[in-house]
Amino acid sequence: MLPDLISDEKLTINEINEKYIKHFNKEPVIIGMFWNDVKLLDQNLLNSIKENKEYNEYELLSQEEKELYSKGELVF
Amino acid sequence: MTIDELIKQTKSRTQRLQDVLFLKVLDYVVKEIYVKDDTIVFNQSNIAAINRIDKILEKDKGFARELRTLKRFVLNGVRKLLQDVYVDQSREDIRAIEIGQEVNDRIIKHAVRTIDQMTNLTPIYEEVKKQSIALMSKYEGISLLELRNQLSTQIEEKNIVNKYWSRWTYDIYSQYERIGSNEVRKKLGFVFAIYEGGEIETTREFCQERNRKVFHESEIQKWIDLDWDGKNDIGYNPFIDLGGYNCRHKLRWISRDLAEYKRPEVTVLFPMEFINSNQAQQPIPNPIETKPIIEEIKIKPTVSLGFDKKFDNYINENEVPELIINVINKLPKPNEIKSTGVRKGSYYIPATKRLVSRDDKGKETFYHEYGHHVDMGTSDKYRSVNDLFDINYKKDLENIKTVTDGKPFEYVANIVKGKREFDGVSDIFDAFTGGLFRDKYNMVGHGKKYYKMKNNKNYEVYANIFQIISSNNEKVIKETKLLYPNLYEFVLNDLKNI
Repeated sequence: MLPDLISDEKLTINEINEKYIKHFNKEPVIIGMFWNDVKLLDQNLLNSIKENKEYNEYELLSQEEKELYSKGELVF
Repeated sequence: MTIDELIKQTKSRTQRLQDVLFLKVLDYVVKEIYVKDDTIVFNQSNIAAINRIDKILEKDKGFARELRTLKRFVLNGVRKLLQDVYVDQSREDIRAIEIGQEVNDRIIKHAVRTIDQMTNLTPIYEEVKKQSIALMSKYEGISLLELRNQLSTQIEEKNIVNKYWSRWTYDIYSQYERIGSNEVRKKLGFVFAIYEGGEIETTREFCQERNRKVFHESEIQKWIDLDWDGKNDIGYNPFIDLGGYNCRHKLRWISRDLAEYKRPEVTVLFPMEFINSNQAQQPIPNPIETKPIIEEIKIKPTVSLGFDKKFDNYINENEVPELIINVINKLPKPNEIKSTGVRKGSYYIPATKRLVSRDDKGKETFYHEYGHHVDMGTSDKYRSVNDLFDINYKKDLENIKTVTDGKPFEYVANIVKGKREFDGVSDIFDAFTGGLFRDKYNMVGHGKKYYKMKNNKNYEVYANIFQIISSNNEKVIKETKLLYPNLYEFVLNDLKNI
């Protein structure tokens, strides 16, 4: 596994993500599906809080796609 | 044979192709289109029949023969021009003919590919289909006879095939002539040239000022920095573009002796040691850092992926570099390319070579997914998974810290935030941070879960750099080279080696 870049910089953290974690006491399941659409993902998270329904991108995949994704054979 | 003579003859051949195209289209329309009460019915079946015109023409032996004849004619024209160039240069140095034969195969191979790509008839088929459907959709209806007459106007009178060809035939002939001349002179060690071609009413001031004058190659190279009306907007190369679009001039490469005779001050300006003490006898390396001109030809090839035309247009109608187009044309295509809405993201599956691209995210996303296809779907091994990639990744990991003065998150966030064109730069950085950049700071990226998976960093870096090269945005490329110079070179070299 390639190493990660480590830094102790302080930036504005993702407030919506924090809000989500506070609400559901766990992180949303983000699998990279909307990697280049920050607005849409924010909206999806806000909707899930509003509807009190956990956000799970993995569940948007079909059974076959889930299997491929888990094997690293479906990329976004 | 001169280029003007060749163009005249090429025109008469494209005219013949146009006539055949017209007759074949009519023949097909009469046979396949459903008519009721002498009026063509505007229904799905007839629209589908019109949309099949290109497939029918591609399979038609007579039409294919005409097209082959035309391609052969253009290629033979290039061959003749090159032979003339070598003979002409042999007046200065007898070795030119022999050297010409050495470089000829490479140039002709390149010309075959270019001609093949330029004779892609998709734009003409699309025009015929568009016109036919527009005519059929008339409220009052249209008879077969009227359709025939109208198509005659659209195809024959508007001369669509000839117009399409005339856009590139002159460039093909003149650029290959100049390429041949330049390749030979480099091997001969010639560094002086006379700017030739005379003057007519429309001759540009740039060409007037240079006509019949002698230049050293370093002076020619400096024309890149000048600006004038008619200069090529993109990728101007002074050795093959000279005065710009439709320029009829050429560089006649000459010996030092002749250059000194015609322009005595070259003895002082460019003394022998400036070049090479023995340049007239021995081939010398080109003293100027120029890319091989043959790789810089700017007659842009096109792509036909065989799916929705919008995907072809993403590549053909934008500033996508020729390198990418050639890579796409050389490699196997995806088995399926389709659009999706916002409910699901874009994705690529290497096992089935299935590419799905979100419509609203446009060409950038399509380039990204196509990058995955090039990496994962075109050879036995994934191009991004190897030791060399890992070495370059680690080098860039250190580089990022250095070039950002130890504040990489802040630096990259300032560069990419809210700028869609920098999505690729942001996602590569997200890969470096293991998804932290996305999940903690809400930046563009695939996130932690995705980057925890084995090799996903490799895949995404490759796809993002492919996307960045395809988009050809100067600022984005500059930042990519600054932050990830080694990985950028890795992908670029990989594409060049395809």
